[in-house]
Amino acid sequence: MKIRSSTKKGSVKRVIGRTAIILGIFLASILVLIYTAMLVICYGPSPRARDLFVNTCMETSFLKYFPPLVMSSAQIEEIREANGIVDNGEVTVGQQDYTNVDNQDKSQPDIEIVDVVGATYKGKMMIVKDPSRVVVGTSSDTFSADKGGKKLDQMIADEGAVGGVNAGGFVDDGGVGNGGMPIGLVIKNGKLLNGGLNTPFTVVGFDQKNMLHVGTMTGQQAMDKGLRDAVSFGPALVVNGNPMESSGTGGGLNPRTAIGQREDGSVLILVIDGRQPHSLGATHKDLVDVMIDFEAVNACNLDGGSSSMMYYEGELKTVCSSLYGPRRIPTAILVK
Amino acid sequence: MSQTSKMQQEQTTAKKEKKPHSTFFKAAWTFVGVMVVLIITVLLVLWNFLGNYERSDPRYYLDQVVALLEDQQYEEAAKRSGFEETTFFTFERFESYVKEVLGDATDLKVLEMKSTQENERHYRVVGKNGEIKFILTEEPNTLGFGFSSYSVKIDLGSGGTWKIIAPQEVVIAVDDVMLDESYRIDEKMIPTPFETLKDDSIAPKLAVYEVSGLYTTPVVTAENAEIVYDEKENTVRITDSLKTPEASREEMIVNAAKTYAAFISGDAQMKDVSALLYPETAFYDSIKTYSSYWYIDHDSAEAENVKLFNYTEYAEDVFSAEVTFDYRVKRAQGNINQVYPTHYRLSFMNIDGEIKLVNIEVL
Repeated sequence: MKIRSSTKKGSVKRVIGRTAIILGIFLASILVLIYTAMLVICYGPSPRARDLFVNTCMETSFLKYFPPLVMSSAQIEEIREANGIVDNGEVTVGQQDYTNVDNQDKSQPDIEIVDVVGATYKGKMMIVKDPSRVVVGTSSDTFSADKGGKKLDQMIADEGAVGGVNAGGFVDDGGVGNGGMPIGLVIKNGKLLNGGLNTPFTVVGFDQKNMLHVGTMTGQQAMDKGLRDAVSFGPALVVNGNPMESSGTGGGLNPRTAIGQREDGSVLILVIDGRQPHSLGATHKDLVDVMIDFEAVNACNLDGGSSSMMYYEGELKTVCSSLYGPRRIPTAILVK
Repeated sequence: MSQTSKMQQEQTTAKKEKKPHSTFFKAAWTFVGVMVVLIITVLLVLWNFLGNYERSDPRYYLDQVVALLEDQQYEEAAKRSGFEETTFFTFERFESYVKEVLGDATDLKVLEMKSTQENERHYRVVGKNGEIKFILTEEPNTLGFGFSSYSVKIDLGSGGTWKIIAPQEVVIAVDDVMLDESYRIDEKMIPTPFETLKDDSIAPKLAVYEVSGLYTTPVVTAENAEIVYDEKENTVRITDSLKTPEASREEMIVNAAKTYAAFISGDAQMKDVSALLYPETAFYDSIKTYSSYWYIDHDSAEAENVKLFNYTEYAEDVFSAEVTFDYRVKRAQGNINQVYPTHYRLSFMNIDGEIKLVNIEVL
């Protein structure tokens, strides 16, 4: 009986060992395939695919570890610099008064959501006729990494808004940050809640007369312009009616959020789905094209990736790319 | 059992024990081999896919042209960018134009522009002194994996067809090519001042030329002529206005102007004007019933500072000129001394052997 038992034990061990070997070979093959595929992408026949791959990965908290496996940091930096929006330092000028836009053209709906489709992306554009309805929402008046951010739907509910999208960037180490600490300027109701007075940031925000301002400015300059609500992110996409020029691929393919304003004052709020089978994502150049198509005179990119999402009337209008669902964020663009 | 048979039995047992291992390892190695083949196949497909993907980018084609321009291989660049030599825009002209715009063509900047056509991508290549536009047109499904290639076409601006309107006898060159009868089109064009003639058939006709194959605004030359470009209409108008009239002709024009002014002020009669005028014109009809009611009573009227300019010949004995003068009207009573600045264009033509005034325009 003992002999039989030890033989049985031995054969179980053998089966487990052999299964482990086969699985090991399979996993090793997958790893080899991924690595060699990355080599083919980065050193193969398509520099454009390489640039898209590197930019897409480097714009993503989690995937940014992949390109350094096959390329030097200098090579990556060179690719990053050669593919994107060319910042010419232009800042919104002029002073439009959009305080009474809602009393004007009654033929247009107050809020409209339209589909936006491109070769590699799908998304939604929310068009808000009255810019005074668009404000910055925050998770708290005093940001803190310990406290964490708020989910967008919660922020919309707390502020009594009808919809909104994510807004500025935030500290997000490893792509798993809690959205507690914003990066750059945050101005709400004319009050500077985050960011220094003397540090320049790419800023997008509305002034007291509801005109959207875009461009690089310090906190002091933003306050001097009389911005009532603003966040920091970039790049600027359209400034003073001029689309920003792009080089190379114009960025990587990723989920995107952007905001713009038309000459008539109406606000364009765009969210593009990404990292999903139905929508790979959009480059910054795609955003410029979409904003120009929608006749934006000023527009800026907001935080993208897994934060990108749009809620309207309690419904998530876009598909969040985060596997864990909507993320916690410190700031949002809300529509009251 | 003998020692030998014992050993044989042990060997057999060992073989039996080893056999399953070797079968597994054979299978494992086969699996490794299959995985290697699969990986190589996937990589080959990926390589092929990426090659097609790269060639589906319009920049792939444009960058080749830009590289040629940077290497100053203009002939090859012209060929690759769909440039077609024409009588008016030769390859030499193309080369000098590109050199002029892009300078030494180092460090060229390529920027994409907004395109209104779905199957077109528009770019501008920016050099030291300006930029050249390129249009890339999609040729659907010409590559593997359903990708499309692009054809490059240089867009040298306001090209296309231009009309050149000139007096009959003026000799014209476009981009150093002399225009002969073959460029004339059958389009009747009467110079504006002579549109007043009731009978079109006796009106002077301008020559209308049409030239195609111009990539840029044409350089038109004509001796002693004023050349005016209308870039919106792709038209060049030539007037033979740089000649000086003979003294007798100048006197005729100035006298006609003075007579007309005197007629208006009541210092000359309709018969004085009629003696100069050809009656079969709309202009004649408009003045034949004219009566001066508004001119102040005066003792004298005279033209001062008379100037004649813009003398233009449309054909032999068909001409017009502009005359300006100060028309001074005086009256002793009340010490009236009034000056009326006057500016006319007078047009004449030979009708039945006599030079007649056909039109006066007040400018």
